[in-house]
Amino acid sequence: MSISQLFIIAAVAFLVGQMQKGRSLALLGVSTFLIYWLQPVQQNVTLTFWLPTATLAVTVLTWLLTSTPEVRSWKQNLPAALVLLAVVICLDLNRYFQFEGIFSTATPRPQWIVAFFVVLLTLVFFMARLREIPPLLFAVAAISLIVIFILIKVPAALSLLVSGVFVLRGKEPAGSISLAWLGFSYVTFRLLHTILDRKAGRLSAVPLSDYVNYVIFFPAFTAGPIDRLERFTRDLNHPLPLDRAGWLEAGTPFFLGLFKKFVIADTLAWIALNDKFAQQINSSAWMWLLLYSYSFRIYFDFSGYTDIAIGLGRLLGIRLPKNFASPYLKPNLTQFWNSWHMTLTQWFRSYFFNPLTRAMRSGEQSLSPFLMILVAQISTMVLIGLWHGGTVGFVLWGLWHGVGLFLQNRWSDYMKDRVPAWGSTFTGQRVLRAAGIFLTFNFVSLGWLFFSLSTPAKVWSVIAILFGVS
Amino acid sequence: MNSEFSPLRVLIKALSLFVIINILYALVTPHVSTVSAYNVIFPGRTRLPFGISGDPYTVTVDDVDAMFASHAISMGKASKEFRVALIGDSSVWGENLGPYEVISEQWNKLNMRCGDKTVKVYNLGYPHPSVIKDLVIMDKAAEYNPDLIIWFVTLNTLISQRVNPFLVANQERMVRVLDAYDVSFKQGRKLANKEPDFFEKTLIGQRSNLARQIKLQVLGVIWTATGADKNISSQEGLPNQKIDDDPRYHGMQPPDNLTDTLLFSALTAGQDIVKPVPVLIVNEPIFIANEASGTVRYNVPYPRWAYDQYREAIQGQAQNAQWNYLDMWNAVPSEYFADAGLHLSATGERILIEQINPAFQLIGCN
Repeated sequence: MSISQLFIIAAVAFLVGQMQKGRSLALLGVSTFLIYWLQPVQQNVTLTFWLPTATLAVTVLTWLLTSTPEVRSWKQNLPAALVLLAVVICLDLNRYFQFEGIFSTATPRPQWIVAFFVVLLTLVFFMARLREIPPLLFAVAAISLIVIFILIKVPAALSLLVSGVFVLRGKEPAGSISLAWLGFSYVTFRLLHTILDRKAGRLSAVPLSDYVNYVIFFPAFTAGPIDRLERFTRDLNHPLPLDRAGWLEAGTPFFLGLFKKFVIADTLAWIALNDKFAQQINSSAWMWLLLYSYSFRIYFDFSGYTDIAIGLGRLLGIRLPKNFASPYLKPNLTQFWNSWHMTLTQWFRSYFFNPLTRAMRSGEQSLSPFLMILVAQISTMVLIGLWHGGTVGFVLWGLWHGVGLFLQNRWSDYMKDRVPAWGSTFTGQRVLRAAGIFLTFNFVSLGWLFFSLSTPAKVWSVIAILFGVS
Repeated sequence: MNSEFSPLRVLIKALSLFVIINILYALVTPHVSTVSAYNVIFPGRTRLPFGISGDPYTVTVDDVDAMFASHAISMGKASKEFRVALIGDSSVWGENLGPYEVISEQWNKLNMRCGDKTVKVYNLGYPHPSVIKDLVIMDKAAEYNPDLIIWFVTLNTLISQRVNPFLVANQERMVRVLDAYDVSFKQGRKLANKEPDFFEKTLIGQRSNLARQIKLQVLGVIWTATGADKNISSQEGLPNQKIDDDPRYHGMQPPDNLTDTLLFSALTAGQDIVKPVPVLIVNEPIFIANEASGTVRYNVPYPRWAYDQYREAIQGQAQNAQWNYLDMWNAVPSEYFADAGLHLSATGERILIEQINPAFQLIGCN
């Protein structure tokens, strides 16, 4: 997003936030429009329309799955359904309006939209009639979302699937395909959260407008944070006032985020390590400098966007959760992961790490605690790596952190009763803390190599230069 | 929370501060372009910064002061240095070449001497074929005490001049040169009448220039770390010999006469600007496609009739005015070109140096 887009969005957020009546529906309309407006143009131009439409369709179907008959009444949800429909139809009609600055003019023909809605409404009709959702349907929905997620994150899998369809239809297999499905990583995790919590009976049902607003809430749509439905709807229905304190709460992160993203991160991007630079540098010192630039760039970029989202959310009266808490100033890896992309880490802790360790503990042949921690930490971190993309680099990055967390965990245990006397003094504690911060930051920075470089071979050669062994 | 906090007051204060800073900047117009981290923190660049959008190694800054401030020539002249400045277009600048393959650096590798002085060659070429642009750069180069100027020209350099971003950015210097040396360039003079308005002088008005100058400074890290100053696309093989048969050149075709449109007065002006420093004018080599590829054009930029007229005319001018002139138009075989135009390969540059060296010794060292 550009600065001008962000200021327009901030103005819209302010106006919507000030509405006394119809605020939730207005927010729904704006969020729906924005997920189309922000969607990058695709190889296949009509996908620019279909991908956000699919996001909405999946969201509505998941709402039906996670709601109860009490909140599914037409009377209660018709306005929200009409808002969604109106925005989608207006955007599709842009093929006639030709407002190029607003959205693609190459939208699908209206008859396709009608056909799509007929199929969707049929599904909606049958699902809405279900008094009790069969448990299997929750599993099917969760697995379907994960499959779609994998197809987006692993371009090879998508190409294989599309080629398979082409071959079945007697056509030439398609070439390499990739989808830039804006925001779907976050949408998937919000949807999975509601499916899993509903299945576990931990989630109360909400009306359609609250649910869709939660999933596609525009400030957090592209870069998080991943809020929880109950917390979000509480603020949505009882918005925080935009009084003096509210302005400060909104303005500070918004402008700080702009500064972080557009001044610091974008400047560091010029000198951040990449494949091209890595090939040309033989000096260890310069390589470290470019690696550190990458580390800070990724932090300021990501946390800047999150700050902007928090500021925009607060303009709307919604307090989004914190996503970063000075992660590079943490003295060990566990604390780093408690302060880096916190909402994603909490999501994985709730829906993967904790269930996995519980399952391992309650299994007939219980693993040793030692092995349990190793398996749980490595598998969680590998999955977090895969969330970023389905490449070997992201798997290795996950392994790097999984092993790092395990070793740090063991080391902390081992050192618990062995801290030397000087380490307990005020100065000793500060020295140990500084050393911890230094080691953690460098460990994390080395891990970023798997992000910044395209192949493991390049990572190894850069590591060799960094440590002067090439 | 500070209970005195008022969002409106903050907004008014911020806007006021913003307006005041902009007005102050426009009134003071600080000359920030001469401030540079190059030659202080980072080594100076071997050629002037120039790059197309998206090049990760460089950025185009059109301000000639900022360009020179980032160049190695700003380092200061050693007492035993014989300073040679190369002026010209993209062929001198080194399109398709790395910073240590360009003609100046290959010259420096020869470790030549002039009497008791070491020859140090600086590449001040810049990728716009424009003799007016060359004059602006020569005017700036004169401040760096050169001992010899080698000025590479070609037909495109002298043909009808257009205003380009470089000339717009340096219009003050350009107009001064045009006035002082009586060079005819109507479009350039029109620029003189267009004073930048107040808004253009503010921080907001200058934001693009400032951003590019800041980026150039930050990219000093990449220049120092990688030794690269340009994204070079890996081109392999010889340039395509296939040249079309279109005889048109700048809207003219045989039997038109283009010599009247050539700005020879600028070549005289250039020599006057740097006087008493000697100037060697070199008609730069061009790619000559083989006869089988067509008889109408020599190469992509030039039809034969136009180039032949130009060559004859410049030769005549040089003889009449007794310029130090060297015609190198066919000095480099076509296989040593990087493209079917004017850009040489690294080997081509070396061949050219060997061809120029005798004249260089004669004019420069005597």
